[in-house]
Amino acid sequence: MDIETLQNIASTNEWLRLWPEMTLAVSALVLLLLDVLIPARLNQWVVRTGVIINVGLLGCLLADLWVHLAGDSSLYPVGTYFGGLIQIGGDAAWYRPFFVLANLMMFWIAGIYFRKQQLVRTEFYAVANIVTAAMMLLTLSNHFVTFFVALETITIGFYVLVAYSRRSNFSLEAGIKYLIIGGTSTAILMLGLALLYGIGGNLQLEGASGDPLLFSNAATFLEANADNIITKFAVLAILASLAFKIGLVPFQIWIPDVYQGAPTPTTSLLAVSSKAAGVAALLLLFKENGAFSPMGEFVVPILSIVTIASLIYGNITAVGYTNLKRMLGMSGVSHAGFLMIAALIYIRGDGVFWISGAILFYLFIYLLGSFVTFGIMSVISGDEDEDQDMYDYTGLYQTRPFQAGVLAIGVGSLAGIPPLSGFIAKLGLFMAAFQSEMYLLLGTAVVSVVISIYYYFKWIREAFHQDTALGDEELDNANSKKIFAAPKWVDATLLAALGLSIIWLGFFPSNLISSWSLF
Amino acid sequence: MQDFLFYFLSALTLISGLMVPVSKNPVNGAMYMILCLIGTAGLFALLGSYFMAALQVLVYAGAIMVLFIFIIMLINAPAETKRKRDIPSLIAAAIAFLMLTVGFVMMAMSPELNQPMPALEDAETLAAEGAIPFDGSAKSYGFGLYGKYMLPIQVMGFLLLAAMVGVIHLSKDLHARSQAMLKVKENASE
Amino acid sequence: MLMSHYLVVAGILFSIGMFGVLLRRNTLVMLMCLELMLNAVNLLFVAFSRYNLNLDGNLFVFFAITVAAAEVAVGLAIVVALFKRKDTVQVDAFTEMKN
Repeated sequence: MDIETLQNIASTNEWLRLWPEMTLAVSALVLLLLDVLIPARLNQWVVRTGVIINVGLLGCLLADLWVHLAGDSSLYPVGTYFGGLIQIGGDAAWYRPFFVLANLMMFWIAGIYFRKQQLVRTEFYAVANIVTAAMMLLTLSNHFVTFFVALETITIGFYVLVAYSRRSNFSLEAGIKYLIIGGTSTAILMLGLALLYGIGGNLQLEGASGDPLLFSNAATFLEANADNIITKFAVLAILASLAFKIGLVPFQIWIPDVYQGAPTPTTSLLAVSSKAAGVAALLLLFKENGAFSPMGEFVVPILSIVTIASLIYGNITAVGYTNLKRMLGMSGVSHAGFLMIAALIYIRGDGVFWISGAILFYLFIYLLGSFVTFGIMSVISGDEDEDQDMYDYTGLYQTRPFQAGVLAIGVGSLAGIPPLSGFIAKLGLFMAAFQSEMYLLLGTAVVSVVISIYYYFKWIREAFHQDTALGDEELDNANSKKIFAAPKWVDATLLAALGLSIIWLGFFPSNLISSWSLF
Repeated sequence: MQDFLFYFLSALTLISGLMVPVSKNPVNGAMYMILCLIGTAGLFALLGSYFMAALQVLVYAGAIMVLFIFIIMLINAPAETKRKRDIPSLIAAAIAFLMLTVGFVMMAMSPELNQPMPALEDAETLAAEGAIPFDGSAKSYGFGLYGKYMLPIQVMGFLLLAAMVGVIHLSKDLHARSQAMLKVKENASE
Repeated sequence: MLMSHYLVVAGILFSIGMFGVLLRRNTLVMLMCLELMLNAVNLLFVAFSRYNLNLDGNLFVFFAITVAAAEVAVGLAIVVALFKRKDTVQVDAFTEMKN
């Protein structure tokens, strides 16, 4: 490698194209620095700075999206940068605000959580910012090295976030379990990358190139060599590692324990962002000219089996749980199954051109429903973060009707009840599956929706259950669990806003649906 | 001579690697792990990547395993004396081991891999166009890492920051002193 | 030596690591077996790099070693924190979470 080639590559290093990721990463440093410099009585300004930076970033990214939709490509440049390591395309404009919005919602839930726990706060927000920046970078990658580095930053950041509550046995146990299983998935990912690198650079094979880990080179190679056993093994290994992040069936063993033990803001970030990052990475790999696009026919049968297993297993296991975070974890596995149905349609490329927009819409509705649910859980939970049981919510309607109503809206949206927007999201996926003639998957999905309604409604029924043991005069003598906490005005406003947007999107989804084709 | 070195180093690596999960005492396991890493470093040197061999010994064996040994000594956990035979997980582990080994052997039988290693002097001519040709010197590593892979290096910096922040947070308990004082008070009031 | 020999050595090392992670109940030994797996993949990368006369594999090993180091650091911090609270490092003892 001589100086000229080096200079040529270095000229494509346009750091300013990565301004959102750099803003979040630098904001992590700023938060840590402020924590040291600011006197103790002004401590809440550290977190407020974090929130302000995130809100500002979200605003700028939404403005960017607006510009992109208006079709003015001079302001939103598309292309590959950093010598082929990064590609910025139209879908980046959609995914970046999604991840920053999830980060902002997580800041809110972390605020509620840290009011009740004696823990240092700044490190949590700093690491969460780095993780979100890495998620945004993952969707931009065009080379397996960027892919690997971004994925590992997410994974190691989550090790820290899951084990964050250092005085709680649950949190540390969840951390060690997540670490061992996550470490195994890292090893499998690296094995896949090594095999792909080795076989893709082998000059005796047709289609080999000098940089086999570049997505376009990998696509050329896989097209010429799809039957090679090493290639198949490599593709399966890389997909196995993504299946771990999304939470699909053979790799979902970590979900109940880790979701229960981790602090609630981490659980919410895992449930929404980690899943979305995994799905986005999968779609990135199977894009039009993406790295694995020639392997579509090989991968679809295996992924179909995994999807059906996730739908069935996720729902059946969730029925048996009364611990809320475990239940939400396993129901998340079934949501991952739904997303995989859509991903399969995308991989097959059967002419449903609006499917990627539908996937993002589903993810967005899942974000709204999840954060409403996690918000209510955080407001109501006491000091014991792990033992949030379904039966703690009995009689919520009597004392806190607002919270019960918002809970019903959130959980109903997750279950897919009309007229809430969760129904529209699922309907979009069902229509796409019907149009693609994937009837077995469609049938399994419908059955799993029915099962999911059962366990979601168990929770809502508990919240609206008339607690007949308590008369009016006994309400004051009831044990402390029945006196539910009141939310602060920030929490109540956000809960109301999220709940109203879920209802509004259920009644008037046409604006967002028409954007599906613009994706 | 090269053949003999390969067989010797592979045997060293594999046998000490096998002793890591098998040994009862974690300290012994750590020692075998270091031996395995040195064997791997030897294999790296045999493959012409002298810089990587040095890096392996310095970082992997020299920093990571030393950290392991510190922690094992700190924890001072007794060696597992009476372990009841956990048959199901033994069977699962054995099945995984066999499946993986069979998979690797099947992959190794493919014809395009059954060629000897090319000579290093032909590196410039035999490499594909657009590739960074193989070169044992540290200069080409520098050019490659900071020229082509500049972005992943910077992201690695942030990964290390996140890990460092996490480790400091997990290890440092600010209220340890006040907890200790609370315990003294409890004991005094009993 | 032939490339396939290196593949078999790396493969057996990876399998031994996976065997150790599934079999052993001592967290520290499980972490060491995880490192064994990552080390096996590093060997595979360097071998392929030499076989294809391409430096990218060696450069990837840099990133792999860094990731392994960060993971070990976080893992050991969690193990030490758990040991301080539960006085054991056996994974079987970490069963506080049930339904």
